[in-house]
Amino acid sequence: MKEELDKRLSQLNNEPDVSNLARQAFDSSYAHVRNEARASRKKRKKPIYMLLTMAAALTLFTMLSLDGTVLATFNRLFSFQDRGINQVAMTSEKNGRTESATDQHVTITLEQIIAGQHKLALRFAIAGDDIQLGDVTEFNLEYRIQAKDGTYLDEFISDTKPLNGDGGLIGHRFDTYIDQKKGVTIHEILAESKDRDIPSLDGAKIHIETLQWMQGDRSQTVNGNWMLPLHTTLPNEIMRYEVSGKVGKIEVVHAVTDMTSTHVVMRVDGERYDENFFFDNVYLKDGNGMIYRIETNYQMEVMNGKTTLTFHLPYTIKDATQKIDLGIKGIDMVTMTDSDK
Amino acid sequence: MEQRRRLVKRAQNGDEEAFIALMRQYESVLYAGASRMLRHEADVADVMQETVLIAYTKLHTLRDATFIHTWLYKIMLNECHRLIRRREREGTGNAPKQDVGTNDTYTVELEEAILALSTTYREVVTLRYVMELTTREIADVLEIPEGTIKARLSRARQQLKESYYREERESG
Repeated sequence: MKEELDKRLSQLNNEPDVSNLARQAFDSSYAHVRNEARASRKKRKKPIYMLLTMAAALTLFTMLSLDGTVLATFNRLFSFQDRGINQVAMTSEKNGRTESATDQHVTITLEQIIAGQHKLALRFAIAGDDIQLGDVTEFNLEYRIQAKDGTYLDEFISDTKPLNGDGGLIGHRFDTYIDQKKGVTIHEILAESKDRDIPSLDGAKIHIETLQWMQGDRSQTVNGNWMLPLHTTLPNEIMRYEVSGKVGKIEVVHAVTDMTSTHVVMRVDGERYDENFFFDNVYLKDGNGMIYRIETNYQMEVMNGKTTLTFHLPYTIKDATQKIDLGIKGIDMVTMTDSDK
Repeated sequence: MEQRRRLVKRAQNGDEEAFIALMRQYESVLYAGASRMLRHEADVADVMQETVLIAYTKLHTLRDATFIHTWLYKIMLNECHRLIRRREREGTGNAPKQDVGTNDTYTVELEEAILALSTTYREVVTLRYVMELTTREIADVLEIPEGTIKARLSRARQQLKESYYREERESG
């Protein structure tokens, strides 16, 4: 009996199937975590570093070193370390007209816009005589972007205000720094497309509703109506890829490269993947042997025994080769070619 | 392990999907542990939910990602104790364990024998045999000396053996 007991004890580590009730508890907790994270991102008060980022510092150095003529055609880099966005900033001439709007004694200038099908980057300069910029620790800018036909392309507003559309873009990132000498707040925004491309911004407008500077426990809030047209003159060249040759365990639904990134939707057999698996193992190899991997989050949906992934890769139209390999290490790889050729 | 460390770091940096991926890796063992500690399936589910939510809000306090497993087990055990205390107050602590689909007579007997142990012995048996921690790790989780853990394990095993002999005599 002693041996029987030892045997039984040693088998206790056989992990049982999680009951339906516990499954529901886990799933409900995960839903709560996702909601919390989403709400937290909306409310997040990003610290404002008085030191410029490396990219901005480099640009500033360049600006100081160049005369005004050259400066007029030179773009600043954005501070997000986003390969595609900075590639566009570095290789294109200053884009579009500079637009400004004034309300409540605050002038907002749209200094730069980079808009592809997959990503949107905006830089604003905000100046107001009554705004105290000393010791600013956080800054928020609430906005809605409306297309020419009136539909809402993106909304980033506080939880207390209703959305007019479906929220729009995803993966919002912000960066702010203060130019104390000029009394200007520089605010940058980067967002990504979700399951559909960002449509043309021709005729689109951004409505800025609220500005808020935080200084420790104190805040300065300015509610107003700043409306700026979103002009962009960058050519939006794209390349669509289709699977050529054998079709294996990976089904590519969509693979389009534009000036900022490559947007991919792919399906793979199976449902029980660790989320981290794809982050580590998805890759794109271009015709020159360069490898690109997922750098930001991706979306994963499971249905009917298949897992669908949606993500962006930092492979741009400037990198584009006629033939690429798209693969998941340990599962399969497909070769794809430009569908227009 | 390296992958788990990376997930912990990403989760601590605010990546909720990394946190969820991390928790999924521990679902089965947390469930197994709570099932040995508690009699009611609803309580087990309650503990699973609370463990995930507490882990999410407290993850920034975990200093060494290597100890994520013992850190999670500790949260789970604390939640089990909370429910055990509640059941004792309600006077429902000794209700029969609900059927969770086991048909193996010996397994049911062992489960009952473990559930019949005092909470002090039940938790060391659970941590040692269900969650496969070393006595050193159990000592860290429970924050008591390793020698005490060894003594508790020895007494717990003795009580389980006696239960088995009794079962054999009664069934014989």
